[in-house]
Formats: sequence, structure tokens, C-alpha cells
Amino acid sequence: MNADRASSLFWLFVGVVISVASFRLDVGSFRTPGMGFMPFGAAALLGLLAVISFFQAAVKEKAANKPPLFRGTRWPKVLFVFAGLLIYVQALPLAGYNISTFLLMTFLFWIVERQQVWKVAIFALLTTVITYYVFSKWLNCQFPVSPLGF
Amino acid sequence: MEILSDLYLGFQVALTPANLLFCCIGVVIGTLVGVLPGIGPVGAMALLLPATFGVAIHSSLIMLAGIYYGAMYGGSTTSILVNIPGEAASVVTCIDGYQMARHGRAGAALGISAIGSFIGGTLSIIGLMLIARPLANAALGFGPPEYFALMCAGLIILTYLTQGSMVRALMMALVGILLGTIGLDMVVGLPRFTFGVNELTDGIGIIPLVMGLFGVAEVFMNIETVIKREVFQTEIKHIWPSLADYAQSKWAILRGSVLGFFLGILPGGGAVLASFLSYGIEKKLSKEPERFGKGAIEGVAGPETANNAAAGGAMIPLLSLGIPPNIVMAMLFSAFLIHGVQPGPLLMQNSPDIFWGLVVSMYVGNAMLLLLNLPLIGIWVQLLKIPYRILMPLILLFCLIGAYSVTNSTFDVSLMILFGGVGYLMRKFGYEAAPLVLAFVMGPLLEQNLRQSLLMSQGSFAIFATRPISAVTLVVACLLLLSNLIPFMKKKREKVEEILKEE
Repeated sequence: MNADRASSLFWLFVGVVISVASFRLDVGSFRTPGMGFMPFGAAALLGLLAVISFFQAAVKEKAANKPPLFRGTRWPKVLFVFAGLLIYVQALPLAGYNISTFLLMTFLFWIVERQQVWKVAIFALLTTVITYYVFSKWLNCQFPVSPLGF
Repeated sequence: MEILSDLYLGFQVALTPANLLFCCIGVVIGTLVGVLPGIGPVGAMALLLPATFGVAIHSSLIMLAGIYYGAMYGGSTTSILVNIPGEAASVVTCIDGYQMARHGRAGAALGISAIGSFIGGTLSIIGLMLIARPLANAALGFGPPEYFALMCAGLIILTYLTQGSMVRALMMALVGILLGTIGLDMVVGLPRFTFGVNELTDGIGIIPLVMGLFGVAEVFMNIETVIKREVFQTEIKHIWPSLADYAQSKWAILRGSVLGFFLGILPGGGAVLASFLSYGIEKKLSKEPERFGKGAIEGVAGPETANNAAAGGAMIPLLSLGIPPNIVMAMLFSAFLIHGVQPGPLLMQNSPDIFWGLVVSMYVGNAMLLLLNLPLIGIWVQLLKIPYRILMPLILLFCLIGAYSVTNSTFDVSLMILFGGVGYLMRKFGYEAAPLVLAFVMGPLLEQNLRQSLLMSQGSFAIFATRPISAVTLVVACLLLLSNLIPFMKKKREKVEEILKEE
């Protein structure tokens, strides 16, 4: 199955799930639309369009053979960065802005393009300190503080 | 005479030291994001929106609008010098702008694009002043059916004009509407699709959504592919174009102004379409079309003028009708709402200082851009040399801080990262984010007007057909939808898309 057809099936699934959930919310009637009225209509239309898109993709698939979407790309890096960001959000309230941001920036500078470790550490430290002072001290943004007090 | 007193009021607002400062900050940041690939005007506006919560609405709107038209100016610099557009509206400038740079005429290309942008921007503001009031007066008679029809038409036109599959664009608009339904229902007051998460009771914030889909997703795309940027090594001299350059460009600039202004008004039209069409028209009208693609100055002047003129035109539906025609205006619309002001037909009556202050600030901003851009081109060029390995992590960090600073909660940051992942996959699978965001912003209004219309008509959909404005608007929207199914029209549309891709 190609990417277009797979994505159409995904949206069809989303449309069906939300239609069912909206129906349970109370669709109401045309005279007195309930709070599920709009989401039901939108989700049903989404499902319908997903079916059309699926068949369009099936027809196009015969005409053109597209290469796989992720071939020749650095998608594992994107996955690592995505995971790193999610871990950062979890660590932020626990470790505070300075420690978690320093670790995140070290990771990001290193993974985007491999550089010497000391360069990465200096860039990360500078970025953390400058953004902390600009946003926290100057713009009064309230960053979380680590148990160590910074 | 009324317009003169309105302008006087506008200048009183726009020329206060605070507003001049915010205008200057806006246009400088706009130029910066236009120059630097990786974050466009939408992402920058989302990033800076929280920073404007504490300032007066005039200053906030003036700065955000400045980012938009500043980005239109800045985008041309990368197109001309690096052959990589800073933002989408400058894609077409690469064709002749880069060729001019290769032939040692980078200064003239940068100069004519700045001057064309200034003229286009100024003429469109004059158009905005002339059209906005009559349109707002007419819109005072609009009721829920008319607003519902206009918003539907807006979304359909936007999906019609997006590149790629219209079906997919419509799907994204529906996803945007669905995301907009999350939170408290406006009539019943009960939570909807919140899954017991307290933070979702107020709905999904526009800032994490936009930053995720545009800022984080763009960084992910840049991490995924290795892009080599090489600033063309040339001495930038003779920034003021010669008389011959002006003579060659004058009609392109005038045509670009008119075209850009009217396309800017169209929902979804905006700067990108204006620049592409302007290039196509200039090439078609030229006596020597073979010069295009080899460094024709009209190929730079026309599109650059058109994309700035579109920025002014796009303000009309937002300020007069309260309907954002494109995603940048959707961000401005959100800024209005955050400050407790509803843009629309009553804006000019209830808050003339905001309306005219914003309009006049665009004059002032355009003049600032002309003064800033030409002498500071050297600095913008230096900025282009910031390596991706530094730039991309920094953009990510700014997005994280921006999302966090809205509510000082990590929930919005998590949402932004999630939308970043979704945005990346959407790009990979060929789904556009713009219809999603515009529908997300308009969704609650669309639902409110639909439900009010049905309550008014006691459940009859005939209300949309019996009121002339809604009937005509919906017929136009339906025709556009059908045109995608009629083979002849579909082929025409696909042909236009192919031409745009080739250009």
C-alpha cells in the first residue's frame, strides 16, 4: 500500500471515531443543534473525503510509481529530536530550566550535525545562560527552578 | 474630508514613540524571519504573540503586522543572493533575482525589490483605506447566514487555491474545524472532547498549534534533509537601480500592485499566488520573454511588488468583515481576540483608533523598511551565513520558550511538540497546514453562525438560499467545488499547477 492510500485510511479512521464520539455527545436536531452537531458533520465529511482520496490515490498509483517517502532522508534524526523534546518537557519541571535546557541544547547541537564536544558544550552553555537572562530576568518569564535552586 | 480626519487620528496613534518602536521591532523581526529560512512570518507571529499580552493592543497589532510585511521584504534577499526563498511568497523571485546576482547585478535586484515592495505596499494601503469603509458599512447588514456562507466560501476558495489535491486541503480544513470544537461548548457550556484533561477545557491554543505545525515541523524538515546554502560571492554595489531599470520595471510594479492588492483580498489568495501570477503576466506581456529566467528585472520587480501589495489587501476582509482570508491574518485575528477586540464591521465605529492606527502604521512601516533594507543589506547577508547546525536548535529553543511563556505550563509545550510531529508527517504525506489553521481559527465562529442560522430558521437550511448574499456566496463556493470534479476545469487547474511548478 502506498503512502497516499495509507494516509487516506488513517483519516477515514479518524472520521469514523469522531463521528461516533460526536453522536454520543448529542447531535440534537436541525431545529435545535446539539453540541455534537458540528463535530459530527465535520467528521462525517472528513470520512467521505478520505474515501474519495483513497480511490484517487489508487488510480494515481497505477499511473505513477512514487519512491518511498523516507528513502534517502535522515528521518531517524528527526525521531531522536522529537523524543529528546518530549523528554525535555518531562524533565523541565523536575530539573529546572537551566539544567534541562543545557542538556537539551547539547543534544540538539550534537545531533543536528556532529561537532567537537567542547564546541557543543560551549554553544549549549551560552544559549542557556543568554536565554535565561533575556527571558527570565528581562522579560519576566517564570521558568521552573531545579531543587538545587537554579 | 472624513478620510483626512481618520488619517490624522491614525498618524496620532502610529507616531507615538512606543508605537514607532514596536513598528520598528516588527519590521526588523519580519525582515529577519524573511531572510532566515526555517521560520516564516506565521511562526514568528506565534512566537511573539505571548510577548505582546502585556502591551497596548495598538502596539501589539502594529508589531505583528510589521512582521508580516517585513517578511515579504526580507524574503527577497535570500531568493536573490542564495537562490533559497526565505518564505513562500519569494519563491518566484529566485528565478530572475539569482540570475541577476550571478551577472553582478545583485544590488539592482535587491534595490528594485525594495522599491517595488514599498510602492506596492503603499498603493495597497491606499486601496485598503478606500474600500474598507464601504465594505464595513455593507457588512453591518449581515446576519449569521451571511457570515456562515462567507466563511464557508473563504475556506473553499482557500482549498481551491492551495497547490496539490483540493480533496486533501478540504480534509485538512475539516480537521481544523474538529480541533476547534475541543473545549467548552459555547451554548451548553459543557466540555467537549477534553478527555478529562483540565487544560483542554479552554480548547487548544493557537500558539502551540501554529508553532508546532509551522515552526517545529519546519525544523524537522530541515534536520531531515541536508541543505547546502552558499551565499553568492559578489560585491553588492549600485543598490539604487539605474534609470533604464526603472523604465523596464515601472509597469511591472504598477501591475504587481493592482494584482497583488486584489488577490490579497481573496481568501487563500494572498502573497504567494500574487507573486506567481505577477511573474506569469510579466513574462506573457514582455516583448522579449526569452530574457525571463536569465535575469530580467521585471521578473523581480513584479512579484516582489505583488507580494507586498497582497499584504495590504489581505487586511480588508479581516478589518471590514472580521474574516481572516489567510493564515497570517488568522494570527492577527487571534491577537485582536486576545486583547478583547472583535475585528469586523463595527471596528471602524467602535475603535477607530485601532483601525486607523494599524493602517497608518503600515505606511510608516513601509517607509522604515525602505530605509532599513537598503543600507542594511550587508548585515542581512551576514545573517545568512549562520550555519544550520546552530540555527535549527536555536529556533527549536525559541519555540519551546514561546509555547511555555503563554501559560507557564508544560502542557502547551507538549502540545506544540506533538503538533510539530504531526506537521512533519503532514508535509511528508502531502497535506497542507494552512487550511487546517485557518479552519481552526474560523471553526468556532462557523459553528456559532451555523447554529444561530438554524435556530433562526427553525431548522430549515433554506435560510441560506433565501438570503441573496449567502445564496450567491454559497453558489460560488459550490461552483468552485464542482469545478474540481468537471474534467475540463480539473485539467485546466492541473495545467496551471504544472506551470507554477515549472516556474
